Amino acid sequence: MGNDTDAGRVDSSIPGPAQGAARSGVSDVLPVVVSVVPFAVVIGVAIARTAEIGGVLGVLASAGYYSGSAELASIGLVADGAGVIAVLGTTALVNARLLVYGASLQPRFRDQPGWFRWLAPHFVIDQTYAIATSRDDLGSPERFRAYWLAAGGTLGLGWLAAITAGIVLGPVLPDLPAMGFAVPAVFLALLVPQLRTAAARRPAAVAAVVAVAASWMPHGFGLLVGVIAGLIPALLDPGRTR
Amino acid sequence: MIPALALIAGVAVTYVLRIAFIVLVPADRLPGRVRGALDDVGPAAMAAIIATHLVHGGGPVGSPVPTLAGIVVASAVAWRTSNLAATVVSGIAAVAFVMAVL
Repeated sequence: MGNDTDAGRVDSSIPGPAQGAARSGVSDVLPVVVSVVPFAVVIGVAIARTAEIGGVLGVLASAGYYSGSAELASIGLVADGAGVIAVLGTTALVNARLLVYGASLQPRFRDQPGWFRWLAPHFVIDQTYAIATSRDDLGSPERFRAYWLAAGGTLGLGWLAAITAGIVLGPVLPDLPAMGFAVPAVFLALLVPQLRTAAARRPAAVAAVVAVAASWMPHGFGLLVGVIAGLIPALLDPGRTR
Repeated sequence: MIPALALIAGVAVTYVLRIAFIVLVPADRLPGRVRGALDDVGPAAMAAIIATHLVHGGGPVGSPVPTLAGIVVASAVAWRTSNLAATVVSGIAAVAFVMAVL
């Protein structure tokens, strides 16, 4: 017993499982942060050009939305003089896919502390959902919590910084249209390796075809229709029940 | 006042959508077949987002041709490397190249 002091001491220089997960969260999300910068700048410019909103309210709303497409649609509505109901309804339509992401992520949140279950879903968005579900090493609640907070927090900080830059510098920034491809490129990077399995190919193919067919729908509703269509084969397959 | 209230309403409904199946009605109370389908949400959502970008010309890119070129190149790089940064950089480079040529 007398000699086990050193053996029982934890070396603080060696990262623990949660620390390692947090580092993975940051490193996974950094390319994503870079990819969303052009979109964030577009939102910042839209805020700067909408006199009804202003910079401070715009940054606060950006932190609250944490969802670029819905925020951009809302800014456009506010600029056109729309009221609360129009913004609320449009946001609900554009962001309805977050219901599905939340349902899919719920097992990761089930065994978490209450503060995390109530506050951390704020970081649920396409990119965080995609990177978190692409990893198979987040089984323990501690590791998922550390990963989720690090990835979501890093993305949020980068997102707000880029929006703020857009508000301040947007009108004088050069136009770089090719950067608009950054967002789909991130999803390709996450999706294509998954297509090695047949289980992923079927929902992806159905969702892509239906999303294209429904792309005429307003407010990004066709995207939601595509996602739901991609789930139908599994819903009709009794072997997928769990 | 109305713009602020409208944005607050948008933020509030977004939060409710996020927590709905995590806290309010936990998804593990959903029917088994629905829970079985949730594994497909990721591939379905990502494919739908990519396809929507193709139809709309990748947002500010404009024509679908550069976007299509970007998808082909980025997909090949993603398949070979599974590297996020390499995929993004190669895809943007392909789009920029085709835009310059067209």
